[in-house]
Amino acid sequence: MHPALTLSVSFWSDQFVNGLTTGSIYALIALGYTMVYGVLKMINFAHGEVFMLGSFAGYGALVVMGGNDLSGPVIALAILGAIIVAMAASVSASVVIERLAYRPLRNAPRLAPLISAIGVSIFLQYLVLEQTSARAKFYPDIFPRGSLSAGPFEITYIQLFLIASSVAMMALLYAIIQRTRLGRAIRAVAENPTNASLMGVDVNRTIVVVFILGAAMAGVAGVLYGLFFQTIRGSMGFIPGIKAFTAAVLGGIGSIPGAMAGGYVLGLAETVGRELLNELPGVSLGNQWRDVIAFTLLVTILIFRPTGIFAQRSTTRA
Amino acid sequence: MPDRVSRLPSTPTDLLRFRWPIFIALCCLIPFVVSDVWVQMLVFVGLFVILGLGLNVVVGFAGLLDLGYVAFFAAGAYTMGLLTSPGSPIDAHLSFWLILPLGILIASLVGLLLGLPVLPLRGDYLAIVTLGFGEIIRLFLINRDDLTRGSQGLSAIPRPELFGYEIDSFTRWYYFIIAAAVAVAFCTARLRDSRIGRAWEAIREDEDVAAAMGVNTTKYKLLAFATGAAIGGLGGVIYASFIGFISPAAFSLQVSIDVLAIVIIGGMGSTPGVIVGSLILIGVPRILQFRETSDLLANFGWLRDALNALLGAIDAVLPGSIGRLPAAETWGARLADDTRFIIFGALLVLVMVLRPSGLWPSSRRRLEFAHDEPPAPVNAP
Amino acid sequence: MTAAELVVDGLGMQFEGLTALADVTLRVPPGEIHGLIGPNGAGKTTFFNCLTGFYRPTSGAIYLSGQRIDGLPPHVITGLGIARTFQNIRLFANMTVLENVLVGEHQHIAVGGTDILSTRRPTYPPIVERLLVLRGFPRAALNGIIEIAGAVARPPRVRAAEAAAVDRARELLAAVGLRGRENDLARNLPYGDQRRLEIARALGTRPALLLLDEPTAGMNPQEASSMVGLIRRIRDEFATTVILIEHQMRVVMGVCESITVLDYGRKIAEGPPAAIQRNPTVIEAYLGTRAIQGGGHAAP
Repeated sequence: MHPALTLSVSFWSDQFVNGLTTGSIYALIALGYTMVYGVLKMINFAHGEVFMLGSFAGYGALVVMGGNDLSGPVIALAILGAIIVAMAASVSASVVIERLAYRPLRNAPRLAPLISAIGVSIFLQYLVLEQTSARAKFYPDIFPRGSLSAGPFEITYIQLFLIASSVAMMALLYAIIQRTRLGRAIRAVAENPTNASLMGVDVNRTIVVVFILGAAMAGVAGVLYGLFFQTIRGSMGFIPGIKAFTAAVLGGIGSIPGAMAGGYVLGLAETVGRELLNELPGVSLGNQWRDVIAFTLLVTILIFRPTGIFAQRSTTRA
Repeated sequence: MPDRVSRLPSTPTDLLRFRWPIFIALCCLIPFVVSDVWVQMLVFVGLFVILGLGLNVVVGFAGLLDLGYVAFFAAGAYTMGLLTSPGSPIDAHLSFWLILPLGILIASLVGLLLGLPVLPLRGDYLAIVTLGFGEIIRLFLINRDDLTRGSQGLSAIPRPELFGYEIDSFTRWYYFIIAAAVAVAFCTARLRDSRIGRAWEAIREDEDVAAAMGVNTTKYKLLAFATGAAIGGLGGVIYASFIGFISPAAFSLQVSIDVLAIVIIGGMGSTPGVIVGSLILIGVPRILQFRETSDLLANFGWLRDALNALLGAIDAVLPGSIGRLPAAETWGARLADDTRFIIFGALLVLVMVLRPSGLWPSSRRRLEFAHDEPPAPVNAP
Repeated sequence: MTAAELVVDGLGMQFEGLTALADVTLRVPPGEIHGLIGPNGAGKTTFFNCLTGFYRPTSGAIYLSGQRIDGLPPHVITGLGIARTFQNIRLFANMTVLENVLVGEHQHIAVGGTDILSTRRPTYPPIVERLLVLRGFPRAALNGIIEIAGAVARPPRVRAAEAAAVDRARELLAAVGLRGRENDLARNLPYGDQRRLEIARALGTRPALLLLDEPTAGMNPQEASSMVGLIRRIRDEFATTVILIEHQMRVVMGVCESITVLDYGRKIAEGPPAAIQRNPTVIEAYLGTRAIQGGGHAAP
């Protein structure tokens, strides 16, 4: 028995900040899953690859703008530029995918769009692996080093930037969904596509908008991921994709605030949760078990609370 | 009363009746006319026919998307490896014929454990949970190296003996695989034409209505999943024994993709589709790697030079935009490598959009996909 | 099976704040043909969905021949004797006519043990219930293995069961007038025949209570009157109680022995057709749509 937690306060606050950092990325990607699921009732398996493409586009932009030679205030502009390029790349990829691989299957048997999405995912992943000879690329190491402290919490600039910009993006998205005519159309289509189209909503256009918004978030996540972890590769979309989907399910799939919250819960579960488990006698989970934790969480939620941990209990899942 | 009481009206000519025996007999003649590398290639094709038939039960019959099929393949292979490899901590020197049922049992238990929490829910979740699970199994195999020897793998897995003959040559393996594939094809065909098969089909068509007709949908989805897993386990036991060495690297997501592509591109629910799919998706990449192929391709150096001149012209306009083609004799191997997954991915999308019933569909699926409107309501006023 | 009595006591169904059914109490004696009418959105189909276990009612109780059935899963309720058809025809479109009926007969083709493991209603919190399901697992697994082995080996017992089921399916198809269409795909049937096939499929489950959701929707008067004859014959030959949702008043008044009227999820009237036709509350409810006189359609 452990009378108290054995590790120091700063260790736990580090884990907390790390959890928030990865959680931000999961949350940004999860938004794309949950929004597409909301309107099409389909898991967009290619979304992890849309994130990956964004990351590579951001990398390309940074390299073209000078890579490791960047210095001074130009860095801020370069990062902004990279984010815009990444969003553009993710959005265009996503729109093309929707048009070519999903829309023709809107009325097909249930399995067809799912398989098509898998196909797109495999295609993009191996295309990039092939183009990069399966080697990793490294983001320019340009982000200013250093950190801020507040009480026991110490947060590096990059972490702060990552969390802040994710929150900003999500706030923007939330405002679009809640406040604008576009957002109303999206909510109407998610509620009932037939009724929405009767009310004069252009369903096809709304679905494209949903893909655009989700992909934009994934593009931002791609750049943030690259800046923080530095190593990117063609297969990088796979695991974050599954985890972001887990986050979406955690928050109740279809729910936008749920996806954001689910991302942070998952990020914290992987870091703080894993270390808490390690405090138990006889448990020793290395870093490689992080993926197992996320997956176990997914299955557990599906068993006991398929509507998500935040969603109100719904009687109609039929 | 004909056996297949309720199938579509067919035109049973006598030749059609015997098409399977004739096909099997022709298959048995192949080792007499081709060389060993071809027979080895066909052993792999046969192995993937078995796996494809197994996944076909899950995806084709019951309409459940399983993206982690490799997990069951691994369960069977590691049952064989752990109990027979001299390097394993629990080597029990058991015979192949004892492990075969054990591997099938363990794989189907793994399938049940995975399916039990997820299958009562709607289908989509199954896809992502199985996708994650396939990956988890691989991580588990790598990380529990006290048991599995991690990425070092397990070697010297013994071969089966049959009537006093050790199955050691490619030709013997070939006949062994054919026998196994025929047995599996027989079982899945019988299942399809039974009460179980109808229940699966009903679930695939409309799960709610199937339940309203008294079908315990959870039970039948689990049965489909466990049956598919059992066949995957069978394939795994055979694979481990055939290769003699297993390591986690052999059980990556790519195997799941291979098998899924075979089932989808060949034609969901169709045995000939699985065979055609395996030949194209497993056979052709191996043929591309043959020495004969690279010898043949070496004659196309002129084509490479011509194409490279073209690429060079593009490069002159847009410097650094484009590379050059590698030596012609390496094209086959290049194409067979990871590049084939680019093609598989594109094919999955193309098949779904253009020909959703696959290359060689079951008669039923052909009809099901033969229209653009949603299948139900059938003829709404 | 003999015709069943249905007792519904204070049934309520709410969807996230929306009340679809409120305090519906109803008794249908065995063997009666009972009509369920009301304007669109009155909760008629929701009522059927509660009876068949598609929805779990939020309040009240449902008894079938004295046994409480609300909260049981659909396949168990079907096994206890309730079968239904669907307003927007939901056949297994890509299966043959015969196969559709065979799926209906599923529980009566005894080849691997029953599909129904427990008729206990859930009483514990959902989490506990999900774990309790595991208790039935060994038996279900055994049933499954026996059924798979039977399907692969096809012993005489299995062949006989299958043959008997096919014979019965042919009889049912003949009874609804679909003789000779056995090997057509369900989706290639004309509209009226699809409705008849849905009834044959429901009869395959050997119901004690048959729920028909607008069996004459989209039919011309001639087809509708032949459907009326079929419904009567089914009640007599197959000894079932019948509840039908219907908009064509001519059909309702012609075939039903008793009628319940729903409006906004509440029961507003009940009684024999003649009384319902004169009931001021009912006429009130239908005002603004169309008068409830014989022959008219109450709602589109």
